[in-house]
Amino acid sequence: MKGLVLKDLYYLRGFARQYLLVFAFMALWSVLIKNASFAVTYLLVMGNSLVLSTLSMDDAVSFNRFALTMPVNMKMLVKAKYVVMVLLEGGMLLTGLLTGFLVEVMPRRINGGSRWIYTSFEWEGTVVLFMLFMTVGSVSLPMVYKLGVEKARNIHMMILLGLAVLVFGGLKLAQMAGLSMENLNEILEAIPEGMWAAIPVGVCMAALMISYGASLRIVRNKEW
Amino acid sequence: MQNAVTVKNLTKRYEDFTLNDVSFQIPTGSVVGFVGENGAGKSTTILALLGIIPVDAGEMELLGHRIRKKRNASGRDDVSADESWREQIGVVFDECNFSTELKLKFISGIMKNIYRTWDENKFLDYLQRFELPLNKKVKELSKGMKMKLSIAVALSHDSRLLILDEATSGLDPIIRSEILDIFRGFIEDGEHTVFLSSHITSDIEKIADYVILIHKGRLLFMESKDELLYRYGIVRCAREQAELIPREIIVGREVNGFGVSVLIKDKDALMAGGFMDKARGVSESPFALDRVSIEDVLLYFVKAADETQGK
Repeated sequence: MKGLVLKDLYYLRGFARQYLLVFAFMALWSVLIKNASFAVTYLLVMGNSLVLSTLSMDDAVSFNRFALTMPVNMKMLVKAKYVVMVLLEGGMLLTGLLTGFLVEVMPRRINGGSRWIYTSFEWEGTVVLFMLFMTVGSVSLPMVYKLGVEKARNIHMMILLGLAVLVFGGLKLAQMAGLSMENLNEILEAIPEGMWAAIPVGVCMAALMISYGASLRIVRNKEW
Repeated sequence: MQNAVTVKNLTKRYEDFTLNDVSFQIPTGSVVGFVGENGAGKSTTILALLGIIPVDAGEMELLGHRIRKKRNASGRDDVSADESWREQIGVVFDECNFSTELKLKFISGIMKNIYRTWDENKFLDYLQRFELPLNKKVKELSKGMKMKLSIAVALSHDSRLLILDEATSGLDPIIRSEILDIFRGFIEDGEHTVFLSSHITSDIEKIADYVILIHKGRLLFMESKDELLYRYGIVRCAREQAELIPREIIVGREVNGFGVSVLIKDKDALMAGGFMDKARGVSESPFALDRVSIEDVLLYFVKAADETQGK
């Protein structure tokens, strides 16, 4: 399986310079607007998109059919793709945390503030975002195996769009219902701290496991 | 003689195509050419043989390993959970299956983590022999170079059986000839086997020991190539002379404005039956008994099969 993972990482390495340039621009933009979550979200979206790109390349060169002629079974083939997703999103999470730290903390110190250590960068939010994008990736992977990369990529974008609509729509509805942000914060703060960690981790893990099972079932019944 | 491949009554049904009751054996140490028109069922047979697609019926064995009809829990079609026997099979499809952005220098790193028997030095030797630069990306290679890369990969582990699905199609004659030389070298010790599917019959004629012909999902024959080329013949003669050819040796016929061309499967039987004298007796028209090419055999067999089906 290591070979299958390496194959994807070597493939992505070919685009590393372009992705780094785009990300550098995003990070710079974040510094200018003093909003780290912009760069972090971009990184996590990019992580999802890179996984889809590796699948797209596999499709283009019929790699999976070829891989099955080697000492590789379908379980390994599917598992390797999930490992690639975890590695990519994990890498994006670490980069996101580092970027958030730099964007939020460093400018304050550069600006002469002596309280730079009291960062306002909410790393918990980044971790929750990571869980969210892992969940979105988990929804996308079985669709890729079932419908092909291009259709799945469209659905993936629709899911992201749907999430954005859900968040902003929810906030708007809350406002219309007379709930202010303060009220919402009070409700959210009433949730025990442990729950904050447990819910996204639980949802993400469940999504990963269900997704892996579904992908494997689809791949097993596929005519390559 | 042991068989590297055994296929018995292989049947695979699709909505618009059926691979029907195909059986053949490939002796170890031989080169077997698998010929047939596009869509005849060559690739389906190979995919079934490799356990990549489930089949409806039949038994298959590759290097002594039985291939299952249905997939097991790991999504694999072979009976054994151990995948290591696949180390001994090298497969080359009609396209290069490595991502276009991949540099050649990374391929060995990938493959040595897939094949336990991967031989990096052997791979580098092949790349040097084929003049494939390590620093180039796959997308920068020509079609011939890509095919050589795929062959280098297939030969750089402990492969005893090489399966090639239309690997030489689209290549120029010089590269095809180089590739055929590699295959000749591969089987030299008598323990390695090549199963080569192609619709380029001249390649098969150059290298194969046996020829298998498949048409519309049905196997028409498997014959020794030498037998085929020396025993079969084409009689070009007048219609009344063609009537003198014993029916049991006729494979197919083609009628044209000048007379009839008949593919026969036994030149000796024709001569022994006194055809020459009898033919001169019934007509003044000149006649000839020509040697056949694999292409002739393919065309006559296919035409005869179509006519039989049509009836």
